[in-house]
Amino acid sequence: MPSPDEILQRKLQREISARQQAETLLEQKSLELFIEAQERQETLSRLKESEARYRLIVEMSPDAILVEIDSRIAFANSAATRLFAETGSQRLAGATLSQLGLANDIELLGEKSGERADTVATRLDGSVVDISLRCMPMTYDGRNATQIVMRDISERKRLEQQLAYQATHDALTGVSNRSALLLQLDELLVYARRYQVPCWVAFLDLDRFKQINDRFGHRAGDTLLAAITTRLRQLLRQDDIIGRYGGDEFILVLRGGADSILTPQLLERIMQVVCEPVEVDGHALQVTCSLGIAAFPDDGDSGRILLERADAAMYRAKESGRNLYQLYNGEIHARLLERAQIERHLIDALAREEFFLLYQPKVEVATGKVTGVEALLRWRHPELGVLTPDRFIPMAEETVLINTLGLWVLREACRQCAALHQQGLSELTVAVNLSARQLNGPELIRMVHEALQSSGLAPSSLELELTESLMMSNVEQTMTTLRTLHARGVKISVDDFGTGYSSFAYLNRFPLSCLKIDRQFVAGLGEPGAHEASVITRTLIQLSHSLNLTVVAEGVETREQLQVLRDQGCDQIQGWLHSKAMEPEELLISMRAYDPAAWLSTMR
Amino acid sequence: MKGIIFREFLDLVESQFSIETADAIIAASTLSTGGAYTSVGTYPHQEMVDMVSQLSSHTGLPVPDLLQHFGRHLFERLATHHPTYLQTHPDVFTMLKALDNHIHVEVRKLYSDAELPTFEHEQITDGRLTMTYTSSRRMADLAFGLIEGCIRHFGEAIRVERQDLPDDERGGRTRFTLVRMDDAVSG
Repeated sequence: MPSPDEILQRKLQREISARQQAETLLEQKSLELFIEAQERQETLSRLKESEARYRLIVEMSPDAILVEIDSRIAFANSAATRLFAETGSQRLAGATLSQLGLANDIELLGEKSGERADTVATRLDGSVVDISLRCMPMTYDGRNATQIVMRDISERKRLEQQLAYQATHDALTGVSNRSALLLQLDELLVYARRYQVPCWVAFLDLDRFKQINDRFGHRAGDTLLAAITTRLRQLLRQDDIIGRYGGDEFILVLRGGADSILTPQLLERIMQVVCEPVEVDGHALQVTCSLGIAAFPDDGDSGRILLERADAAMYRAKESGRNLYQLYNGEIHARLLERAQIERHLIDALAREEFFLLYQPKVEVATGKVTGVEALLRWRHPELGVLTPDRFIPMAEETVLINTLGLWVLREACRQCAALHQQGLSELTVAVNLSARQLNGPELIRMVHEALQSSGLAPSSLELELTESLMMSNVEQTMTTLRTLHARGVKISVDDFGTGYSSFAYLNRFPLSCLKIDRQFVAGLGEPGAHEASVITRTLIQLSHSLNLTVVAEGVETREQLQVLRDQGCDQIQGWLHSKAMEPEELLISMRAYDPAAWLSTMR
Repeated sequence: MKGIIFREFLDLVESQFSIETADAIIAASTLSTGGAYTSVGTYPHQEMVDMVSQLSSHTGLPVPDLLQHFGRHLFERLATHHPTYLQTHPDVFTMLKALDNHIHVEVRKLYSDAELPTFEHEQITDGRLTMTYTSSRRMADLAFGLIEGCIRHFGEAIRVERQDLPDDERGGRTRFTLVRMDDAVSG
């Protein structure tokens, strides 16, 4: 049993030991606290750095950033201050959303966090600015807030407006362009239909405007167009529509009403203001116009139809001699319908074998001998009967059909000529007319080569006829093409000579064999007062001979005409006086029975 | 187990029995620090179990009774040391209900290594509260004593029924049902 002293001694020892334990624990705890404090300090400085970094980003942001609490601005970065043009007396912080014109937008966008909207904001000075806006909910100083990010899009809006203007207006004249015009016309027709008021679509085309451009340059042409537009605008009423449809084509849409109808006076006035001279670089430029008019609702009830009909009427005005106006009428309508009929059937005509060729002989004036034939294209239209090329070639030229049709004519003519050779008419040459679209160099050369190869016809038996204006439209390229063909032995002749604008300087540079005098000059020969026509044919014949070209007169129908041409030294003739154009079988029979001397004697 | 519990236990042994008894049970137990405890330290729970069973051998009193008695004493001591807690929890039910959600949370802030029992409570009626004690230490007797100490401290007439429940994965479980006497009378 320990003594009380020992027990107390032990208790004291335990207390000392406990105290040491406590001190150790205390030290340990102090160290822990120290480390914890250091860590907290580090965290705090990292937080501060992060805060500073984000503040810098927010301040440097090109986007305007606002923080809104309870519809008031609690924070604004520099860009926001700049955007809202804060001055010393006007502080952005504390301003309300309504003051900035944003209250509704924020309310609307509030539910679509992060979505962007374009709107208009009000600056503190009351001016407005186009902005793009996005907002997101956030916590700011422990309160529910909205972060609003904005960008000034005034420049973009300005460009958009400019683009929209450019997309709908003609840059030169400032009037509606083609696409805007069509829309405006449709809108007007909706109105006109509803209130049963008439209106008129006028197709205005300047006469020979190209000559102005060619002679005085495009700048002068542009000045003239702009001046004409200004005058038209002054003449017409505010709610009439003026649009530029193409280069020198304008569309006027004139509104009618209970007390206003289209009068001849107005149309004459329009033509008058167009042809008033415009002073450009010291020249008084002047141009007339042809006007075609279609009326709503009488001539059509859609924009497309009215335009098409006004266009057709305008063409009639051109045909009638230009500087005229023409109202759409039944006759033009019939022609339009025919055109539609032709267009509708044209595409399949080749496949349905509706095209065929007729051949008209060319005769030597001195001997009566037939030297060759000209192949003439015809179309047996299922509804309109047999059509000559002038009725359908212009339409074919608007499509790729002209290429296949051109190739068909060339092949068919070569094939049939080769057949005629085999049947005894071995000296016959065949002439084929070329269209403008065919005169694309390499393609034509390839087509001719192919036609000759497949038929076995000698190149010297083929003659290609080009019109004078066709030859002159692209001189250099045409020259190269024709020289290549000529080098292969193919003959080239100029058709309808005297109707176009040949430059004599070029004439002897083309590899030509023959020149054909247009029928309009021949028609006047041998009649009283035909002196002028006779002078022309004589001159053309002399010109041809001095260029060493054979000369052929087309459309010879009377003995008198033949007499004059023979006297003038014309080499060959072609026309009804000798024979009409015939199908190959008929031609063969006719040629076999033909006696040149007998024919010649009947012509003496 | 926190050192304060050991110190309170040894103080109790010294005052209720004798300094010699305290010395004897320390000597008889296997203790990591030879019976030197500082109130802020943490010591193996097993040492308490050892000393209580030594005290039981020494005095002939059963371990549960000793622990229950210690619990009653301990509550009074804690109340003396931490009067503010008692001010904010003015009666037994409030006090006990705050154990898990408030007091133990505070203890953990101070001693992150403390291994605390759980006290799930359920207020059945105004006058009836169940407290379910769960602990791997199996000190339900001590908990019982603490509850009794609490009731005594507030001077309320509350009856406590004890029911030992089957163990779960967290350890031994005991349910204490506290019934206010007026509630019991009316019920």
